[in-house]
Amino acid sequence: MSSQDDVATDPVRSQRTPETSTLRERVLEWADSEVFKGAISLGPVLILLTVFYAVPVALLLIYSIFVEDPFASGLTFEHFGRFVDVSAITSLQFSELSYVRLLGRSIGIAVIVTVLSLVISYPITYYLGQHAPERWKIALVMLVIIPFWTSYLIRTYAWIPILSNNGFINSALTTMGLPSLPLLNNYVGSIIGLVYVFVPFTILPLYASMEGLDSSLIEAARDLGASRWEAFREVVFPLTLPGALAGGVFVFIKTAAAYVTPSLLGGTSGRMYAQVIETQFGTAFNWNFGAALAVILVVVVLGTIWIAMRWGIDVKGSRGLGGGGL
Amino acid sequence: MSVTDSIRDRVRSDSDPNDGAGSGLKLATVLTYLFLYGPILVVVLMSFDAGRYGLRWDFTTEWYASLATRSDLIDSLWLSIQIGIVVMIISTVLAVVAAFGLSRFDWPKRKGPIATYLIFVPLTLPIIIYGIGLFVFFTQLGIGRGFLPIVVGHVLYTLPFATLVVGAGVIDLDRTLEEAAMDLGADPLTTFREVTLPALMPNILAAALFSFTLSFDEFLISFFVSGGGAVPLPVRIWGMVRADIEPEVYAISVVVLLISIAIAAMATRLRRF
Repeated sequence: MSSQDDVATDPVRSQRTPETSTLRERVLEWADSEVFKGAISLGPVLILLTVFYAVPVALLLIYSIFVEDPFASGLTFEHFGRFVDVSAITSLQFSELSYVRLLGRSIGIAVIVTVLSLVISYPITYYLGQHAPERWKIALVMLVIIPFWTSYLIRTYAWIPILSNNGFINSALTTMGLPSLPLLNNYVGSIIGLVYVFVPFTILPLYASMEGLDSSLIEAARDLGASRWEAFREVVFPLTLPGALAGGVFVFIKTAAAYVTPSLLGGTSGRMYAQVIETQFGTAFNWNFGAALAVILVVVVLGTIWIAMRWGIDVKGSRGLGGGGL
Repeated sequence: MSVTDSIRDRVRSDSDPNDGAGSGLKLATVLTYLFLYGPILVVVLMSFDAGRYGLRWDFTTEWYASLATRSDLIDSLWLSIQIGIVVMIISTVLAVVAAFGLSRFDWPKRKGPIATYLIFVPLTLPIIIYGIGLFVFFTQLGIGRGFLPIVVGHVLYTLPFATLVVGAGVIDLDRTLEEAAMDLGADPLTTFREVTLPALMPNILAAALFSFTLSFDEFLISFFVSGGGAVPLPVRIWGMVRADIEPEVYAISVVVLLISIAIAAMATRLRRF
């Protein structure tokens, strides 16, 4: 941020400063100006964000369009071409499009996880927002927030002893004489783990909507003969939808880029897109292709946010509740 | 609650006994809490279990005893605490400065919203993208992996949260207090030190605690930029889980959970939203 240019081009300020004022007065007035104060207070943070956030992310964009070392080799789109693989499309060999399919599967899992998170969030938030005793409310909401601030890595691997073939669920099933279920190292494991990690992201904004909902509206609907379900469908659901969508968008973009959960619980059929990006940097050492895959993921995420904002979803409303990482 | 309200409530509950929370709703709420806390409970149970998996459970404290001999885990725990403290200090100071910048000044035209967006971009982009970008960035600089890249990554990761928490306090702050202090002859610096800062203390402390616990538990950024002897605890735990779960992992995880739950509980109490 160049505060000096702002001041020089600010017509109001140049009018206000009489020509006769001394340099000292001008400096003092400038130091008191909003622009200067803003630059001093936000400048360091914005510089830090540019150097240590924007530049590293932009580096990936640069890597994605060079053959090898940036600026030392030629520009190319081959890395993006490897992702799309036009020859596979023209020869109708869609099974060859492994990266596109992987991205598609990640988006599919993200949709399922988002829907499940919302389904789980409705009853608890309806109870907390409308029925919970006033004196317990704060404690109950805090109970939702606290796991959110603890290690998601630990909370994710905790599902291994629950879901594995000789884990809690399957041991219980076999002792009851039932067949065991494949819950770990497949997409079921990924979905369970992701819903678990991300459900607070839908619970909290939805709770805010439920809490703000005027309960006399529900009473009125009930008095007019609506059943419990009709009152929910016609009154509660439409009025809390903004909160639900804000949380849902957040869960979707976080899940589409999930790495930890599918790595620990997903096996082959639960493998997700972010894992193949990591592979390019961790073991395949193809930074340029990895960077191209990363750029595609960023486009998906930003595209989702853009569409959500165009639909009037208050994406920002869900962000402040952050935490939990990923 | 007014008298009419309470009468109406009584009338309602007489005329329609079903109108409280349905038992199905209560059951669903209980189950959701079970879902949220079940896995945490499992980690605690497993840390005291002599066997592995399954329904048989034999109490033991041997995994906690053997933690004392795992110098790799203790070194990583200590490193994570050190990183957390450094990140906490840097992030909180920057958050206070940025929170004032964001909420106090009348920005010319659209600069305010733009600055807000810039600060909150790190909350929207996938962390894995940032971790990889930071890894490439520090490799290009010739610094490679280690303590400094981890601290940088964690500062940028925690800053938006810390700024939000402090910012909420700045917006709530009663400006007449500051004006009164100025009218009574205090210079801006004294006013800030004696009036503004004490009023904001709960938020600043909450931001500091959140920054610490976010950094302490952060895995994905550390995963890409740690190495060269600097391996934070979550990366160490990841290695233990990936190879084949060693039983000590549950015991060290309980230590981690206790630290972060204690800090999160404190911070949540402090926060005024």
